[in-house]
Amino acid sequence: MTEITSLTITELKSGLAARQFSATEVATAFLSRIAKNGDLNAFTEVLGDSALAEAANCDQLIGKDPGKAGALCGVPLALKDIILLRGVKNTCGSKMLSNFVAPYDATVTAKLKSAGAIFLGKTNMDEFAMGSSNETSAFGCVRNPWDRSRVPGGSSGGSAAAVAANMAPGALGTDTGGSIRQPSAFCSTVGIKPTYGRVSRYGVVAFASSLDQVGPIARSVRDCAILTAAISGHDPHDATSMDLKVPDFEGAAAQASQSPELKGLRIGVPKEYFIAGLNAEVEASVRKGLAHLQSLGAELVEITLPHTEAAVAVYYIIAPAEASSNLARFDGIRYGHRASGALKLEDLYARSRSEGFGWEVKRRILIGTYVLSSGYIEAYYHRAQKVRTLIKRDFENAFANSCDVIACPTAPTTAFSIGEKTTDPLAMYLNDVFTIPVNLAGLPAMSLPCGFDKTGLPIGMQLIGKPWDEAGLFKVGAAFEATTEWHSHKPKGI
Amino acid sequence: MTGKASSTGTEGPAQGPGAQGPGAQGLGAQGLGAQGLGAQGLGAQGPSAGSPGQVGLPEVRKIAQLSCLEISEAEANALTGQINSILGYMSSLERVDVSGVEAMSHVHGVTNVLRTDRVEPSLPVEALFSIVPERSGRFIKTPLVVDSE
Repeated sequence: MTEITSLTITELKSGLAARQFSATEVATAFLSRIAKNGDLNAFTEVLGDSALAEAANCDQLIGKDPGKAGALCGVPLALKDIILLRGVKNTCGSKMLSNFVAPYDATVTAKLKSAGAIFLGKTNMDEFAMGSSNETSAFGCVRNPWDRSRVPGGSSGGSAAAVAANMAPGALGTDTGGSIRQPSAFCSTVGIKPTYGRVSRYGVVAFASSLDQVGPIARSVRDCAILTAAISGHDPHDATSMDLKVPDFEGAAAQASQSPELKGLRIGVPKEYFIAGLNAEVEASVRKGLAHLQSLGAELVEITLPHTEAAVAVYYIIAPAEASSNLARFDGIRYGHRASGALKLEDLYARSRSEGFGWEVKRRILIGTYVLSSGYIEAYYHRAQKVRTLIKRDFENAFANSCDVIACPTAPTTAFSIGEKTTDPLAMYLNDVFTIPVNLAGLPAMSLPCGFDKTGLPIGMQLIGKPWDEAGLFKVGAAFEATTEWHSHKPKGI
Repeated sequence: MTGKASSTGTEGPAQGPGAQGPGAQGLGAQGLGAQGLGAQGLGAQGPSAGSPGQVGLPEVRKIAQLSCLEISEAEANALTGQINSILGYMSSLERVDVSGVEAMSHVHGVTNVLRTDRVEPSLPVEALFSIVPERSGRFIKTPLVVDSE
């Protein structure tokens, strides 16, 4: 039998239902894989005891009445350490929250719990999700399972590394400017950022509220569809979550896997995404992927998204502006790090924040404060909001006139070396050039494995959909996956 | 030009007329709403703020103060360079024609949603107090909020 930890969620579900293995055996297998790969630093906390207790409960449930067991009963998952799990520390990769124990469950956590999922642990991340490499975590960088001298991407790098190294079959991440998709590309996993408003943000620590969205990272498109369906839907606790019916995502993926045929589908290829700075091997792999989609019957259409070049500048104004406001709540009073010995309230605020936040977070708070300050708000923030409108219109025009789905690279390079970009924040920001426009426009987008470079580092292809058309992405992704074998490669020595 | 490094170490590279002075003096003279940053738009900044889209040390200190962050002089120096490199990049937005374009704060144009005004269960008080750094009974302890004088 195949090693349990290399099974997909789909396979685990059917194996558990058929009693090929127990939930306890499954949890034990993943926990020992986590222990074996401790040097990857993918987890901030491993929940061994509670995972095994939950697994024993699942075994009882499945034994008594399998029909009543939830859709994910006995399936172990990992949660990015920004998503609250009641009674468990939620550090956000920050010293500020190093002792913060979540007093309630995030809505996505509660949904997974009620479906019977088991939580293996919380995954490491860039501090407050601010970073593209996981190097801003207060708890050390996560290492890329494909090459341990390289970054896993970020900010959901712990989740992507855990899934790539078989430490979990799936994990949740969050994506504000590419934080699910870029680590998925760097670690050869499948990751989707759903449409803004598809998934509740309640109980997820806010970074940039108009951009943040929770989504899954897994080893197959179908698994991503299963997890997306499990966490989607309106939540009265989040006024930005939309009251829309959640389509049958798993069905869309499963059908496309069975009959991988894309006849009649128009795939837009934006010329602005194939530019100088795009690594030649990444370009070659993505172009090969595009040709493959064509061979499945899709029509490739060159499109233009003329404001792409402005997206990084827009994002690094809007996201820090929102962050500077969101992170004002961390003042040492009600929760989080409190500096000792402060005699005045203002001192307590400033010292608690200065001790609790790392440098990337401070830098973004400063930039956010600057672009919102009197005399500069018009030139920076309001101007960025206007350009954001133009970026969204670019996509609307493309979808209205030319294509059904857009395909392009996820990131301009493969995983870079640890330390390579830490002294140059701007170089780090530019790594998000292909993922950021999607968040600004609120669209769904997925990264899926489409090749490897000569040194064996993974390459990801990004599929961008119309608003609310995650099902369309699952269909194209599943058809691609069923007819290629990139997803089946595994890092060595895990 | 005012002097060299003082004992409080506030001096950085030349920042323009009147920009320098240890600690509070520099900040006071260069407040965000004053000549340093205020009133001047991107690309129209005076010498105190450096070239277009640039900030100087006093501005960085002032922004830090507004952000409730303490930064050392060495940190302020390093941050000034980094922030200027980032702001320089952002000034590329000046080239985009936004005339007649509406600003977007949210992709779906959401509006306020009010729940029905009725009593609903909330989190237990003890659960929330368990994460408070310092408490005194049913109260959260803080340093003096109002000066005692």
